[in-house]
Amino acid sequence: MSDQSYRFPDSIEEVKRILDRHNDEVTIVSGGQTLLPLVRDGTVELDHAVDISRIPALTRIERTAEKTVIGSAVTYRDILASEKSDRHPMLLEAIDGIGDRQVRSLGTIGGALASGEPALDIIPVLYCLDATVVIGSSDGTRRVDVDALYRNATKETELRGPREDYIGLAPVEIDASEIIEAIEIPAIDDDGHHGEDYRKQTNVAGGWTISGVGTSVSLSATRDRIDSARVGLAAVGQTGASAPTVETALEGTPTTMQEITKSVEQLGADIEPTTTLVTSQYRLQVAKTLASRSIAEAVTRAGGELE
Amino acid sequence: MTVTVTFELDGESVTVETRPDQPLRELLRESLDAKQVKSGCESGRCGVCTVLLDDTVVKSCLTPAPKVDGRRVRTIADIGTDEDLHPVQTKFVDNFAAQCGYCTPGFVLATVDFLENTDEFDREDAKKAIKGNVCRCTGYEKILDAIETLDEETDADRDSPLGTE
Repeated sequence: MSDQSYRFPDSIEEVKRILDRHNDEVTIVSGGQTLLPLVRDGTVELDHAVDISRIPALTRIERTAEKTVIGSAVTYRDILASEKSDRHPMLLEAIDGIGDRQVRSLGTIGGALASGEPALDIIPVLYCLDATVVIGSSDGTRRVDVDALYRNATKETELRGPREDYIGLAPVEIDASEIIEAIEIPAIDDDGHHGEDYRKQTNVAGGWTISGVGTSVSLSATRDRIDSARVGLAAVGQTGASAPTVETALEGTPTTMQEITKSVEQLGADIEPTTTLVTSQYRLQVAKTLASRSIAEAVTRAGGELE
Repeated sequence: MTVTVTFELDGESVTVETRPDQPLRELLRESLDAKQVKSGCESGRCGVCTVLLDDTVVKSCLTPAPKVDGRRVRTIADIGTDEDLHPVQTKFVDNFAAQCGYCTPGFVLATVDFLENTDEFDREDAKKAIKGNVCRCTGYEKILDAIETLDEETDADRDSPLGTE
C-alpha cells in the first residue's frame, strides 16, 4: 500500500476482501461525523480510508411485513425522509433530535453503532425497538442484539482523546475484519397496546446528551398494567446501557405515576453515571426524571390512562 | 498529499491534491482559496464552515475532503452575489439578521437547505433548522424573524389566488 489512500469500494464483498487482507491498516469511513473530531484531536490516524457511503447495498432501506432493514451507511437524513412515521415513531423522533441538520446529512446509523460513543441517542432507541445488527466478514454473517455489541463496555468506558467534554469511546465487540451491514428492526405486533418514547437533556442545543432515556412498553389487554418494558439509556457512562432493575420493577405494575416513579427510583442500581460535564449525582437525577416522563409517555401512547 | 480529487466547486470543475485525514474546510480554504467558507471551532459545533454537498447541507470541517470526489460543492459564493442576493440573504438584510456577519454564510446555507426541503413550518421548526449554527451577536431572534418572513412570503404566494396580496 502507498502512504495514504482513500477508496470507494463498489460492493460489500470488496470491503470484506480489503478487510481480510489489510484490516490492521484501514479505517472504515461512513459519514465521518464522529470520526473527524477524533482524527483532528489525534485519537485516530486516518491514513487508509475505505469509504462505504456509496455502496448501494449499504445505503438502502427495505420494509417487509416482518421488519425494516436499514443499511449501515444510510444517513439519518435519509431515514427521516423515507421512514413512514406510523411504523417506528420513536426512531424518527429520536433521529430528528440527533446533532443538527448538517450532522444528520452525513451521519449514519451504522457509523454510530460502530463508534461506541455512550452519548449517542440511537443506541438506546434501537435497544428499545429490539433491533438486530447484521455483521459480516469474509467468514460469513452473524446477527446480534444491539446491546450485545457493548457487553464489555460496562464501567470500562475509556477516555480516548483529550477533550474534557467527551465521554469517550467504549469497546465495541466487532472485529477489525468485520463490517456492520445492516440494522433490522422488527415490525411492532400492533395490538394497540404498545408505546414508545425517547427523550434527552443536552448541555446546549445540538450538543452532547447529558442523559437520554428511551422506553418501550407493552400493556395488558385492559391497558391498566405494564406487561413488559424496555428502558435504554444514553450518556450515563456505558454504551448500550439499559436498566434491567427498573424493567423488572415495571413488569406487572399498575399504570400509575406513583408506581412508575417507584420503579424508576431503582435506577441507581443499574448505572454508575460518568462525571463528564456534570456530576454523577446530577446525571443520575436527570436520568431518573427523564425515565419517569419517558415511561409515562410510552404508557399514554400505548393507550394506558395514567392515574 | 496523496489523494487526487475532482469535483465541482461553485459551478467550476476543480482537480486538487488532498489527504484522507484532511477536512474539506481546510482543502477549500487553503488549497482552493475559498475563503468565503469560514473557519471557527473546527470541531463540528459552530457551523460557520457549512457548505452544500450535492444540495445537502454539511459542515465542511466534519467532511473528509476525499469524500467530495465526483460530487458538487456549493459555497455561499454560488448562492448569491452583492448585486444579486438570494431571497434568503435579502430577508437576512431586511431583518437585520447579521451583526459581525462571520456566521451568516453558514446560517444562509442551512436556511436554503431547510426551505428547499420543507413545506410549512413555524418558528420552532426554524429554531431546529439552525441548531447546528452558532451566532454570538444577534441572539438569534432576528435570524428567526428573517426565516419566518420567508415562510410568510411562500404562504402569500401560495394563497395569492385567495386575494391576500
